[in-house]
Amino acid sequence: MKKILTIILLGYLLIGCSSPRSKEIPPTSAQYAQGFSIESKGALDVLILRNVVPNSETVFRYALAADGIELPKNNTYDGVIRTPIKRIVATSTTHLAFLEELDAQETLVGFPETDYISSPKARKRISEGTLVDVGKSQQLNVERILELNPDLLLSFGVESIDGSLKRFNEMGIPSIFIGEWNEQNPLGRAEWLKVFGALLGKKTEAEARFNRIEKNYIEIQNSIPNVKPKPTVLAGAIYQDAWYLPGGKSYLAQLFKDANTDYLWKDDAQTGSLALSIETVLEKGSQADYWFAPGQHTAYSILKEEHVLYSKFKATQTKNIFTYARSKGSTGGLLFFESGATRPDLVLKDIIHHLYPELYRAYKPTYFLPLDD
Amino acid sequence: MIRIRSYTGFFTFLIGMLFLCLIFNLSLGSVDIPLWEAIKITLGYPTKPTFEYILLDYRIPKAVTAVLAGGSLGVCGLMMQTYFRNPLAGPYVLGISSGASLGVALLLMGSSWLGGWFVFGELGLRWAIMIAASLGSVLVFSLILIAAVRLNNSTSLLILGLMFGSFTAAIVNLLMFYGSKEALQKYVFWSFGSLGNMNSSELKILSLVLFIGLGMAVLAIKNLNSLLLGEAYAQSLGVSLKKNRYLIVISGSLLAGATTAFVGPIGFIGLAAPHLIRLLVPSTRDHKIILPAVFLGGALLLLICDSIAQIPGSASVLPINGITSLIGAPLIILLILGQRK
Repeated sequence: MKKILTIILLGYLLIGCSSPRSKEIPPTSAQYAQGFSIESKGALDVLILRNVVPNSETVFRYALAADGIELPKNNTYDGVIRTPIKRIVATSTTHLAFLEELDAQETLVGFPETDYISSPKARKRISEGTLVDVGKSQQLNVERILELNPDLLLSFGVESIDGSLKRFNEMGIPSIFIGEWNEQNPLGRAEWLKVFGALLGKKTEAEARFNRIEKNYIEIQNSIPNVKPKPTVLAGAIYQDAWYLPGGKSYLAQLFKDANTDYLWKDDAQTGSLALSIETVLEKGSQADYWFAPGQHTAYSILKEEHVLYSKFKATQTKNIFTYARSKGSTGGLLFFESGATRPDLVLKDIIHHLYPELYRAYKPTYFLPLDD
Repeated sequence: MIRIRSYTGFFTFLIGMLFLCLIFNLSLGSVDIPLWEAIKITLGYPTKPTFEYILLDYRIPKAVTAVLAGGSLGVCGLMMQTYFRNPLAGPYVLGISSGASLGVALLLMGSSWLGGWFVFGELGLRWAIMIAASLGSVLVFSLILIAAVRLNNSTSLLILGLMFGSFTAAIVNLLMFYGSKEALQKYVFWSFGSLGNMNSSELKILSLVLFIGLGMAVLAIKNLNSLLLGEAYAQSLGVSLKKNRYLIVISGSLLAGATTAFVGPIGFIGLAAPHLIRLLVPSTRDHKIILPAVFLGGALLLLICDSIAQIPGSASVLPINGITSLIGAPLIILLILGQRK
C-alpha cells in the first residue's frame, strides 16, 4: 500500500514538474483577438497562444527567433521557430488568405485537399506544381510533407491535438495552432494577421494592413443609418429535423450586431451553432426582415422545393435572403471561408449593402450575394 | 371470424391509443399551440398563420410519415421473425437496409471518382439520396432473391442476409475512411433519420410503395400462419414454399427499402413492435390478429418516439434514430420482466 502511495506521489510530482506552463494569463498585445499575444523579449518575439480549442486552458509559448540567435538549451518554450518563415504547410484556406494579405503567398508550399483553395494566384501555383497537395487534413501525408521540408506547419487545432503533429515536431518540423476561427469578434479574426506578420518577418506591414482593415470596418459601421426599430435578422437553414443557426455570441451574430441589426437569437449565450426545432424558428423568425446564410442554398426555387415551410417566411416572400454559398472558387471552395476572416470590413460592407442598397450604390459585394431566383 | 371478434376490444384499445398518440403528437412540440387553436385550424377557421404552418405543413406530414414508417417497419419485422423463426430477426436481417446505406454511402462518399455529389445540385441531392438508397436495397434484394431460388431453407437465407449486411457495412466503413469531411457529415446526418423533412410528393410515393408492400404482407398472412409450424409442416399443408418465400421477401424488401430510402435507417421499431404485440396478446399467434396489431403497434411506437424527440416545450430537437432504441429497449425489457413474474 505504502509503495503504491509513493508511486502515485512520485508520479504526481513528475507530472507536476514536467509542465512548466504557467496558468496566469499573460498580457495581450492584441486589441480584439483573445487567442494570441506577442511580446518582445530582446531579440526574440514570444508568441503566446491561448484558447486553441474552445474552453481549453492550455497556453502555448513559442520563441520566434531569427537565424543565428542562440537560445539556452533548457528553455521553457513549447517550441522555437526560426524567422522569417520561408516554407509553410497550411491546413486551412484562411491561412492562405492571411499569407496573401501580406503578399507572401509563395511561402505556402503544401496544403491538404487543395480543391478547397479558390484564390486564383494559389490555383495557378497548384497547376504549376509549386503548391503541393499533402493528403487530407485529418490525415496528413507524412512522406510528402517531409519531402517538402517546410519551416512550419500551421494547424487549426480541432482534430490535430493528437499525436500526428507531435510526430512532425519530433522530425524537426515545428507546428503551431492558428485559432482565428475561435475568435467571435470579426476584427479579432482579422487581427491574426499580426501573428503571420511576426512569423514572416513582416510585422510592420501586418500592423499597417490590420489598421487599415480596422479603420474601414469602423467607417462602415459609422455610415449605418440609425433606423428604429432595427431590422430583424434570421440565419441558418434546416438540415434533417433541426434548424441550424449561429449562436448569440458567435462571429456572425457579432457581425449582425455591428451592422446595427436585431439578430433574433442575440440573447443566446452560445459561441458555436444552435440546433433548434423547426417550429421554434418558424414562430420566432417568420416575420424577420432579412435572412442571411441559409446553409448551402443558393436559389429561391431550390429553397421552396427543399422544405415547404421555407416559403412561409417573410424574407422568402420579399426576397431578402443573402448567402455566401454563391461566391465560389473554380474548384468549389467557398470564398467566405477562405478570405472572409481576413476581410471583416468587406463582409460587413456586404451586409450593409444589402440592408441599405442606396448607401454604397457602386459597391459589388464579395461574399454575401442575393439568392438566385 | 369468431376469433377475430374476441379481439375487438384489443383492437379498439390499440386504435384508441393510436388516435390519442396522434393527437398528443400533433399538439406537442417546441411551439405551444393551444388545443382550441388546433381545432380551429383543422376545421379551417383562420387563426395565427404560424400555427397553421406548423400544424398543417410540418406536424401533420411528420405524424403521417411516422405512422406509415413505424407500421411498415413493424410488419416487416414480424414477417422476418416468423419466416426465419427467429425472435431476433428484424427488417435488417435481409441486409436490405444495409443495402440502402451502402447506396447512400457510395453516393455521398464514393462519388468523388464520379465527379462528386455536388454534380446533382442541391435539390438533386435529396432525390439522388433516395434513389441511391432504393437502388442499394434493390441490389441486395436481388441478390437475396437469387439466393432464395437456390437455397432450400430459411436459416441459410438468414445467414446470407447477415453476411450481405456485414459486407456492405465493411464497404461503408472503407468509404467513410476515405470520404471528405462534408460527405461524412452528410452521411452521419442521414443515418440519424428524419421524419419531418418530407414534402407531399415524396410522401405520396412513400405511401404508394408501402401500401403495395403491406398488401403483399396481407396476402402472405395465411402462409405465415402455416410457417409457424415449420417449413416442412407448412409444405405438407399445401403451402408452396418458393412462392411464399418470394411473397415475403419482396414485401419485406419494399417495406424496409422504401422506409430507409425516405426517412433513413430507423432502428429498433421493426424488432420491438412484434415483441410488444406478442407480449400484449400472448394468447394468439394468428397473423390475422398479430399483423394488423403490429402495424398499429409500430406506428404507435414511432409516434411516441417522435413526440419525445421533439422535446416538447424546449427549442431543441433530438435525432429520431437516437430515440427509438433509447425508449424502445427499456420498454421491452420492462414488459419481459413483468411477464416473468
